[in-house]
Amino acid sequence: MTTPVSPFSHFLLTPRLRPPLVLVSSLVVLVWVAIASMVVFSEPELFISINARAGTVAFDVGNPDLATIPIAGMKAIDANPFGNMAAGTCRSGLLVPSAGVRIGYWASPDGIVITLKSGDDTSVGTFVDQAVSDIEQLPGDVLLTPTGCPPVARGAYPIWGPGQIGEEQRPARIDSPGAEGLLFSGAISIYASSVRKQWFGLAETLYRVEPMTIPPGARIGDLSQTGSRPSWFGVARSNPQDWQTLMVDVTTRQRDIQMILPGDRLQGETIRIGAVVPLFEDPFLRRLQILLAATLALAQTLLAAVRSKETDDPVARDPSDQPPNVPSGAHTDQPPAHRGDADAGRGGDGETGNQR
Amino acid sequence: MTRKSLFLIVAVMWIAPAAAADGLLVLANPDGSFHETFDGERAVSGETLVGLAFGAPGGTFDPSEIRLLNFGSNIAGLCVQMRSRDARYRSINAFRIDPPDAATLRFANAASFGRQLSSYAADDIAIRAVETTECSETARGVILPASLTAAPSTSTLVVFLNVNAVSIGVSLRHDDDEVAVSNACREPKGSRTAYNVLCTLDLPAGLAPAIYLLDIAAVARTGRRESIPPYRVRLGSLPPAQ
Repeated sequence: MTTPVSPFSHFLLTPRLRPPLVLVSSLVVLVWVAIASMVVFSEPELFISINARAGTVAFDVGNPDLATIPIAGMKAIDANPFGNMAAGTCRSGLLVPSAGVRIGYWASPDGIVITLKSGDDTSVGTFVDQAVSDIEQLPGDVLLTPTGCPPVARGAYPIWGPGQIGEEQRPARIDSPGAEGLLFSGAISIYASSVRKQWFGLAETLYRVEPMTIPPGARIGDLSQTGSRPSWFGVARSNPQDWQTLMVDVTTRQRDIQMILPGDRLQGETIRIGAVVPLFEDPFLRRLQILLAATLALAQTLLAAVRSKETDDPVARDPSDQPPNVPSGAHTDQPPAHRGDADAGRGGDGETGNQR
Repeated sequence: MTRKSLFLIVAVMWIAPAAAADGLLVLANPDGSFHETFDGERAVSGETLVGLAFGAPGGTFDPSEIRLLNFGSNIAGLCVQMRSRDARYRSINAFRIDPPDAATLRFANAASFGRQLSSYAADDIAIRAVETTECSETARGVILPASLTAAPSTSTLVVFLNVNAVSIGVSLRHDDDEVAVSNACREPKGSRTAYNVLCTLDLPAGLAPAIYLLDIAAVARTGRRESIPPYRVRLGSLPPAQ
C-alpha cells in the first residue's frame, strides 16, 4: 500500500535542517499574519479633494477669520421674507461671518450671489466697509448680489467649514424658475498616507487612489450634521464658460461623504472613503511584499543548495538521516540524476521518518 | 349613582357625537382603480405648496391614522395627492365624502395604499387634499389640511413647500386680517426632492371655521421677492385634547 508523498517531507526528514527551516517558516508566517491584520483592521490616514461644477456650494462657518469674504461691488439685501428688502448701494469691503452661520454661493448671470443665514434671528456677521472703514452689524438673513453693480474683478470666495455641494433636482414650478444649484459634474480624488509613518515611524508620504466620479444631479457633503464635522477648505469661483455653474475646489479629511440622488433613497448613500482605499496600493506595502517574496525565494534557494550539498556528500550526511527501511548506501548507488526518485521513495515512508 | 358611573356617562356623551361624525373618503376615480406609484413614472404638479398638515407627529406614516377635518362645509369631492419627500412614492386619487358634511374624514379603505408607506416617517409624506371633483396634478381649489394622527390637534399647521429661495416665511390671513405669521422654516435632513422646506405656523386657539388665505413669502436669489399666489385653506379649531 502506497502512502501519499508530501513535497516537503524530504526537508522534514533532514534533522540538521529542521530547526532553521521551522524558524524561517514561523517568521514568514508571523510577518504575513501581522501584515494581514494591519491591512484588515486599520484604515489609512487620508484626505479627499473634491472638484465640481455646480450651481451652488454651502458651508457652515468653522473658522470666521479664514472664512472672511472679500466683497467687491455688491449690494447687501436684508433677506427677511417679511422685511422691506431695501437694497443698499454697491459696496466693497470685508464680510466677517459669525461662527456657525451657513454661507451659500450661487451661480447667477451677473456673478456669484452670496447668502448668509444664521438659523435664528442673530446677526450673520459684520461688514467692514472699505470706503469709510465703518463696521456694520448685519441682520439674520442677508443676500449679497452683484446685480445692478458695475462689473469688477472678483476673486475666489473662501470655503472653510463643513459643507455640501449641489441641490437635488426638484420639480419645476409654475411661478418660479426651474431647479437651481444643480451639480453638473465632479470628481472625488482620494489621497492616502502611506503606512510608513503610521506603523513604522518613517517619513510620511502620500499616494493617490483612483478618483471617483460624482453622479450629476446629486447633493454631496457633510449632510448628517451630527458628531464630529471635519472642515472643508477651498474656494468657489465663477465659471467663465458657463454662468450656471461655479467651479468648486475643496479639500477635507472627512471620512464619510453623504450623497443624495434625486428620487432615490430618503437618507441617501454614504461613501466611506476609508473602505474604498485599497491598502495594497500603498507603495510602501508593495515594496514590503516584494521584499518578502525575495526573502522567501532566497531562503528556498539556500535550503535547496544545502540539501543538495548534503545528498551529494556522503561524509557530511548524518547516518541517522536514512529511513530504517532503506538499506545503507542506497543513495550512493544511484546517479545524481535519479536522486529525486530516491527522495520520493523516502518521502513515501515519510510517516516512519516523522515518527523518529 | 356613583361618581364613577356619572363620569362614564358624561364621557360617552362627549365622545359619541364625535365618533358618529366621522365620515368616509370613498374612492371615486372614473376607472374605479386606485392610482399610486412607487419608483414609477411621476407627473409634475408645478405647485409650491406640496402638502398641508396639522402638526407633525413622530412615528411612521400610517394611512389608517389620517384624518381630514371638514369644519362643517358641504364638500362634493376631494382630490388627494400624496408624495414622499424622496419623490419615490406618489398617489393621486379622487374621493367622494360619505356623508358630504361629515366633520372628520378618514379613508374608507386605507389598506389600498402601498405597504412602502410604512417605511416612511409621518412627516416624510406630504398630503394635499383639494376640494374638487376634477382630480388632476394641477387641481386648484380649497385645501383641507390633513391630520396625521387619529386624534387631531389644530394648534399648529405644517406647510410642505417646494421652493427655491434664500429665506421663506408663511402667513395666514382672513378678510385682510393677519391671523398668524411665521418664518420658522427648515430644510429637512436627507433627500429634499418632492419638497425641500417645512414651515410651522402656530394657529391661535378658537380659530373660527372659514376659508383662509395662506401666503408664502419667499426671497429669491435674484434679490427679489417671489410672486406666489396665495392658497385657499379651510381651517378651524378643535377643542384642545382632554
